[in-house]
Amino acid sequence: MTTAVATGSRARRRRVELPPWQLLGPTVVVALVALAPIWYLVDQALDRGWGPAIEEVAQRRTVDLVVRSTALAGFVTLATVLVGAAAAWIVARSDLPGRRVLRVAFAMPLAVPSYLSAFAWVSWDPSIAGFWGAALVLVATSYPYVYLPVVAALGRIDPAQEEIARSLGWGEGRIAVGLTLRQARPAVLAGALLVAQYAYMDFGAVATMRYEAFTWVVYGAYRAGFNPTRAALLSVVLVAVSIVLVTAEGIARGRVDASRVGGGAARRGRPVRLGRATGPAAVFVVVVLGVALAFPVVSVVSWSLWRGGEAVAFGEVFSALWATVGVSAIAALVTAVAALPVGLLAARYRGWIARRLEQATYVAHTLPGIVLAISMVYVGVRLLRPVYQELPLLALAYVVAFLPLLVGSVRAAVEAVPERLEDIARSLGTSRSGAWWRVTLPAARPGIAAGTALVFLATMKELPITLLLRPTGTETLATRLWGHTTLSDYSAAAPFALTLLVVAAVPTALLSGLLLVRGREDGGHVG
Amino acid sequence: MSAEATHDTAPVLEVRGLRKSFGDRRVLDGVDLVVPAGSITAVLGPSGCGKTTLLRIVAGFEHPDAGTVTVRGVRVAGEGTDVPPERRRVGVVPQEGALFPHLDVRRNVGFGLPRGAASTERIRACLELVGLADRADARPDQLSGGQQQRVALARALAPNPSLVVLDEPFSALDTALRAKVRDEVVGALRAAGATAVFVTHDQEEALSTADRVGVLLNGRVAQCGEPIELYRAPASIEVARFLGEAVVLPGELDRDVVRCALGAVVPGSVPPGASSGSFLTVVVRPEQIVPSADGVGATAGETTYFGHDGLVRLHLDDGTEVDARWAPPLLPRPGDRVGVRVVGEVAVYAAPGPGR
Amino acid sequence: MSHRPSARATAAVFALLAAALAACGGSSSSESSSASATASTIDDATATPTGTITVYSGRTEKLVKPVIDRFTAATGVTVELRAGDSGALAAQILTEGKASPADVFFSQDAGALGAVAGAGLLRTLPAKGLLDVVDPAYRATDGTWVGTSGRVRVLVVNPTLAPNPPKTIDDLLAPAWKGRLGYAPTNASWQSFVTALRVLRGEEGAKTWLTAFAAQQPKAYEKNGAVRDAVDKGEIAIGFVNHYYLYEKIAAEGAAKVVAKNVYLAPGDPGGLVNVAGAAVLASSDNAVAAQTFVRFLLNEESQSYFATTTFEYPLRTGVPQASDLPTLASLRPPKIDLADLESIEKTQELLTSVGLLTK
Repeated sequence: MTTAVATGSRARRRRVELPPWQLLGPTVVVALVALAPIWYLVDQALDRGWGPAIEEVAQRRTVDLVVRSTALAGFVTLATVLVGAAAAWIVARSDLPGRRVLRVAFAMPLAVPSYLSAFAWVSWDPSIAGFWGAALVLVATSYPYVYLPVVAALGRIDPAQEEIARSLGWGEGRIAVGLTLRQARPAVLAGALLVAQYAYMDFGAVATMRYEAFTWVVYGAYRAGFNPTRAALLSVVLVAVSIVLVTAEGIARGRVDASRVGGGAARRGRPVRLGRATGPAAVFVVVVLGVALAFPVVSVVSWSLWRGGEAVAFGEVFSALWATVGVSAIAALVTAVAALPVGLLAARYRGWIARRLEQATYVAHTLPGIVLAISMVYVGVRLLRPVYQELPLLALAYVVAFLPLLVGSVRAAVEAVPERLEDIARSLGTSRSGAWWRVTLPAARPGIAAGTALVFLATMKELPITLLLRPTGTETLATRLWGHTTLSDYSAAAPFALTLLVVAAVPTALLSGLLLVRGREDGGHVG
Repeated sequence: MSAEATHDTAPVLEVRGLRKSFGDRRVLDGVDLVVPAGSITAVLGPSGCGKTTLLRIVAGFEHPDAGTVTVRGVRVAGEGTDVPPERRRVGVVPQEGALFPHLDVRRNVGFGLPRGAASTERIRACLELVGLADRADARPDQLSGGQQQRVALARALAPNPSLVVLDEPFSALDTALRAKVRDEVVGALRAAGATAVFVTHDQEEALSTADRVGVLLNGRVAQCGEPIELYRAPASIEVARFLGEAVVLPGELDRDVVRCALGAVVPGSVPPGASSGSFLTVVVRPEQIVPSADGVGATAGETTYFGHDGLVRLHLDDGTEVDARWAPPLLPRPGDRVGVRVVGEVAVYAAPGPGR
Repeated sequence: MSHRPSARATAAVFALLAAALAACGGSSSSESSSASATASTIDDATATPTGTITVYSGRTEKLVKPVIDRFTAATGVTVELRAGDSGALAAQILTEGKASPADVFFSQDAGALGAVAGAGLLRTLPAKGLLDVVDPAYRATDGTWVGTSGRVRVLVVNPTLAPNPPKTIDDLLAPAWKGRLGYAPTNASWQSFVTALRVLRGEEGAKTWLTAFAAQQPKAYEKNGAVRDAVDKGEIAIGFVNHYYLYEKIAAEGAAKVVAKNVYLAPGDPGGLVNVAGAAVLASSDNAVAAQTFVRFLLNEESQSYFATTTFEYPLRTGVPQASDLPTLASLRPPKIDLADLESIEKTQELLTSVGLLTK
């Protein structure tokens, strides 16, 4: 009907022309900044020339490690897609009681750092270490990256299609998998890419679980081998992996038209009755939240019960909290500013340049924290000496590390705003860039805010970059936590861990709450 | 409301020879259209015929491959000129309102206006025009579809545009509301003295609402004129077929009448160069076929009932099948014998038609 | 607007990229490659230290802060402390190169110090009153760093379960101890021990021992503290840790409650390795006087006693006694090894991985 006509004309309208310089300029600058680590890595890797470089990389062991990391990443990605999509479906489309609470609860594992979760598990049962332990922790801490965009996408889907499918004889299960979730495919793909990259680059979980992954040897090359060249070479391999992942996601996404056409709030479909499936669904919920959320939190709480007579250093906790919130807020804001032009460009333009620029911001995301940290040390010391180990460079490093989280959110949020609105704004006298500023970005605000909250959260938990680049004398909750756990002083670490979890819960709740606004439960407007 | 539009006699919009292709698909193939000041013109055509493309070119969101667009005597597109949409002063009301979701009604309507007291007054006036002055503080998702359309219209009118273009403005509304909203919107446009062009595929809408209707077929305006003219004297068989049902029959000119299966019919005009004996194509409207005791014999077939009338399939004695539209009391039962004749003038075309 | 400008713009973007790289590139990172002569020594005995120094410390803030506070009180020099992991800090210094803001590198182990020294980034320390208060075995041969405190590898045993504990690492391989041993695979001290083993017995010899050790199915624990606790509880009979862990537990819970005992290895046995924490001054330091004064301060009697009594480590200043119930270093006769050779930890990790003692 109207949808079909609009889609047709919309497909014609995919811009292949060049974006205006007001958009292209900032995007190029941001992309170049995001590629800074690559520049360092290539420089460092070729320090001794091409010959030794190739020899170092072309070893049997390198291939073995790539295979091991790929096996882990592959399993984790698959598992998070299943868990995240199932959780999103339960919250958005089923009639399981307590859905409102679950909507926020499912996002909460984002607040738990992977090193914390891994440590809690391996302390409880050391035999869990190895592949399965690492996979467990990685799935538990990263499935929200799939869950959040899918639950948002499900809120935008037209329920009429499900009703038609039912009338054609499709069972509920088939509809859920073959129709509903299928429509959320771009969201799933975007989340899956982030999870895959995360699985390759995470160090906390694989180190604690002693699973020999690629990041292991990268860290080893830095901290045990004191060999930055070797580390850089190994990192270049990770960059190559990242390029493959990003390209694959781009190809898979390219075939699907991301946004729902047709303005206005979506009409909510009737929730699907679970009936006999209520039991299994409830079990699923309990298992996921138990493993990912309840267990780490309870473990940390139990640490704080081993008080051993030492008073809690409230002063230290408070100043660490203050520093953490301050630094994370600045990082989130700067990243948001950087991500706006990139996300806008990626959403509105389809040319070769637009795609490469967007992908450029993702490429460095597979690099382990220590690689980003060392790259920014290198760049900082040579180009930005006055702000080295000062807040500006630290913020810049966070931007490089977390830009993809926000670019994805901005892009998805802008894609959901019909281009028609910009046309209308122009017909009313606003220039094209004025229309973006006055119409598109404000309309995309909830999605952009959610992405900003995500970066805020990631920065709060971050460790390697913070350790190397923080202003001397500044401690965050994460660095304090780390300091105490290296001494095995868990009772002293507990207050910092608890504070981190509690404070991180705030942006997480906001994240899932912000997405709540989109798909209103009370049914939008009357036709 | 806006005084200038009504006194200006020059056409507000002139489109000449517009061509546009997407890939190898020729969508517009030489479109000519003239829209006089203060009028409401409908561009009518089947789905996918390029009406929306035409609108987008006029508004400035697409660029024509050839041809020109002139608004108020100023060339805005074609032959090297390309005035961006923000400077054309062409208001747009799209298919589904498309109100800015993050602004309330008042700010939506005032979007194209500068800040200030004058604008506040203008916003109020435009909202009153569409009958929604009391919903100024509402948010778009609190309004019904019809209300959103009216706000969209107020928004388009507020900066006093030279021209307002509307893209299938009523097709998203359900039928019950459609007529009512249509009347309100048209009333607002007339009260404002605005010049408007709206595209639609709904014939009833075009014919009943607009002052002038342009029929867009095969990328060209096949005919443009007053609704009744289009209906009674379609310029070609395609237009005839498109507008309302058409009964197409071969015929032969016999001095001042044309003989066809329905008997002798009176042509509205005879194609140039035709003379007695020329083969012609006759187009008769179903409502022109009336029962008549001494008319052509036929057997009644199936009747399709519409409430206010019915369409009955008649099998003429010579084998031809025609549809006739009769009032309910006159509808026959299948198998009944009836006699029919044609009242009024019919449209006649030169080339022998391909029959039906 | 036509479609063609995109080709020209592509070229422009690439030119921009290339220009940016060229303008900023230029310098390679070879500044941090092989050693050259370090800066000449500074006589800080007569000069007055002032200003501020930045200390990169691989030792935790909790431990180091009291020393720093006393230093500031004594000299008026402000200290900016940057605590982290010794290896990561070394990597950071290596990357920073000559532009490093660090003045002092206080490392938990000698390997990291050796790596930074090897890159030519350290300043030679004066012998008088600084280097020569420490036994030559516990400082760099070229005088670029000095050990501040030492730790000994020991076996912590449960006397009930192991009434006749082994005295050499080869004795650990006896069948009686199968499944009853514990260690911490990711612990830096353990990995240093294995590195020493590779130096003392060669790559093949080390691999042989490690393979046999792996065959004993030792239990892996997260940290040395966990190993010690497991021995105390009786979960395992013998653990391989550093000497001070036992004393930490005694200090926390009281001698009466602690069952486990330290067993020192036979003289010269690789298992009795002494490793040191040490400090160095960066050649690029712009306040070398104050930096050297700080290192000197770490070696004065007060600081050395502090290490002895707080962490139960071995003070390395000759003449300062260790905590009362510890055997003297001299009596222990640890294996002779150049601590600088403990730098190749990465190779150790590879070896451990290949025999299955590091990763699962």
